[in-house]
Amino acid sequence: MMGSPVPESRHPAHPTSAPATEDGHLLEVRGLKKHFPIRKGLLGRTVGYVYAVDGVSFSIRKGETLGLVGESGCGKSTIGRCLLRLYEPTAGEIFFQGTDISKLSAGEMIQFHTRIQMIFQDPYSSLNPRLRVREIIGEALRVHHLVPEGDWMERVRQLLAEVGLQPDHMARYPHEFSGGQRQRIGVARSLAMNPDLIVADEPVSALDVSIQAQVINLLDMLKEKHGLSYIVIAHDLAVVEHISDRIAVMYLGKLVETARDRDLYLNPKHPYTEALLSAVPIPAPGGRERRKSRKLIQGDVASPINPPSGCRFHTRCPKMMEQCRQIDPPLLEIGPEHHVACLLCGGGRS
Amino acid sequence: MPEFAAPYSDTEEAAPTTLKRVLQKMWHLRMGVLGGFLILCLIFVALFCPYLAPHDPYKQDITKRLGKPAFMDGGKAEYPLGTDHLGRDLLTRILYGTRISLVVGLAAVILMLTVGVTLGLVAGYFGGKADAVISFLVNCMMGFPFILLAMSLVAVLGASLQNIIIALGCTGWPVFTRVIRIETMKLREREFILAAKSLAFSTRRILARHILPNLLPAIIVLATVEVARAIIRESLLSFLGLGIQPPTPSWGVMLAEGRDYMLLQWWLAAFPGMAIFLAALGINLLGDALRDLVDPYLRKT
Repeated sequence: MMGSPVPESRHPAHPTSAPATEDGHLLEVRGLKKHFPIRKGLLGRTVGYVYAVDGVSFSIRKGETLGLVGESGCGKSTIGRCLLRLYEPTAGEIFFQGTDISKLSAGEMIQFHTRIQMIFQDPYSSLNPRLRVREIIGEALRVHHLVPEGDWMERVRQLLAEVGLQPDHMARYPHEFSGGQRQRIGVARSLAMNPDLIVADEPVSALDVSIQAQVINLLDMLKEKHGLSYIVIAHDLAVVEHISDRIAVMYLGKLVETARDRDLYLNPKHPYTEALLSAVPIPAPGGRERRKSRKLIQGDVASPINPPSGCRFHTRCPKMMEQCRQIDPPLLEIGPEHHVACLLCGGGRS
Repeated sequence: MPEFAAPYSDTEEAAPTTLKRVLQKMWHLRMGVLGGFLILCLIFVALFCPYLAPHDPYKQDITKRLGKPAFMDGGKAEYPLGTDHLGRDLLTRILYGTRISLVVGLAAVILMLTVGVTLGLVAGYFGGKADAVISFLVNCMMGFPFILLAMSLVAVLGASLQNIIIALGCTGWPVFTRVIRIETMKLREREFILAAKSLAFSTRRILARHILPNLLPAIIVLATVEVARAIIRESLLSFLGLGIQPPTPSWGVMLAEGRDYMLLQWWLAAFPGMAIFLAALGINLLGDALRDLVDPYLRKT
């Protein structure tokens, strides 16, 4: 029953399977907002909102990896969950291959879900402890008939091999694996759907440092092999540096800077990006020189329930000017693929 | 996180024989084995009591009333546990009483389970208005004295085996709902449920395949406690005259009848009481072992 290999047609070669939109974008997000109501009292009156994501626009090309960076609570995970419609967006449009997926019905969503998948943060919570590995990875194959009946075990075996696990791991339960192995199982589960885009929500932050590199390299390798696009969510620039083509920096529900990997590291424009970069430890002899000019920001993230007026970063910004209190700077292009939302970078001109 | 990945070794040292493994497992769960043995005895007795019992449970013989058990001075071997106030054999009636207790215990718990788990799942998974309504209902039920509710139900419906089961089921489900609701809420936030959603599984599938199996330990523990409690409550209702009606042999009825003779003919109340105790103990022991068995963290073969 598990003898014959999966026909190639069922597992389409990826580079051709995802026609990009006219402008070459696989995914385009416009003005995404997600506000969580705060309910109080017996009647559940809405007394306010958590402005988790408040007007975010970005796009991602086929085969590109976008790193989404920011402190905890800045809304980066919420964006990821909105993209998979695990959360219903409050406002905004999400175009995937030209289709606005924020308006799809439940039936149409199934089709869409095979194209975009998620890798979760905590490998101890993301696998059902009562299912065997083959059921965890194979359930989607069987439910959505992604492979011919009877071939699913063979496909699970393939997927396990792709993420560097043994075929005989199939019959085991998640608790018999280490954190890194569990994360590999999670990767195999999302690969089972043959996705074009994988949203990796802090894929390595729960792992030992020695394991982190292995999982990052695995993601890189799979990207090459299947022509995947990634959105890698992280709070640590060192992690996304490795894997990203482009990086978007988020602060309190808004994007403050997006740039190509290199531009962001060599030429950060936004004071918040500068601060984040200088917080990255430098394990090199030259690091000491850079350390002298370290600009650590003070204080905590302001509350997303009652965000500051004007530029949201002004309460902690070392370069704060008077007009920062009033004017909320838009995200402006200041160079090739380099966008910054800061009055210092010409944001006040408009 | 409470789970730690167990270190796994690919090489098993000297694979033990199947028999040895089974024996080891049974020793590990010896209390559960004892419980299982007690329950098997109960089921066996319930099925075959017409062949096991030395007498007819309804046959009265007033000349032999209040006979002492065989092991006491003046007791007769013909009546191993003595006779009751109408001269019926006590052992026979206890054996027949097993049927009532098992049927009531199991049927009432199946009823509680169906209602309680369904409502708990709905309240815990969907939250919102459904949760508010169900939680309010549960709180009302929990605040209501059991005896009063069961009494009024039996008074309205009439005292019969079926109505006792209904009364016990109607008063017992909130315990299940309350526990299942909280456990479901905890599970709903786990990432594997988000993963199941992002794999576009139906809500029914998520509830049945991903939530319910993870509730199994809680359900088993609750169900066994509740079977034991239903048996005790049936005895209680019967004792109060609201349950099984004499002359049907039920442990509760026998306990009630024995009450008047407690000081001098203590065995009339003691032996039915012992039967209730053993049944409840067996079910609880078995339930504990079952919970360990279905837990994959403890399942090592």
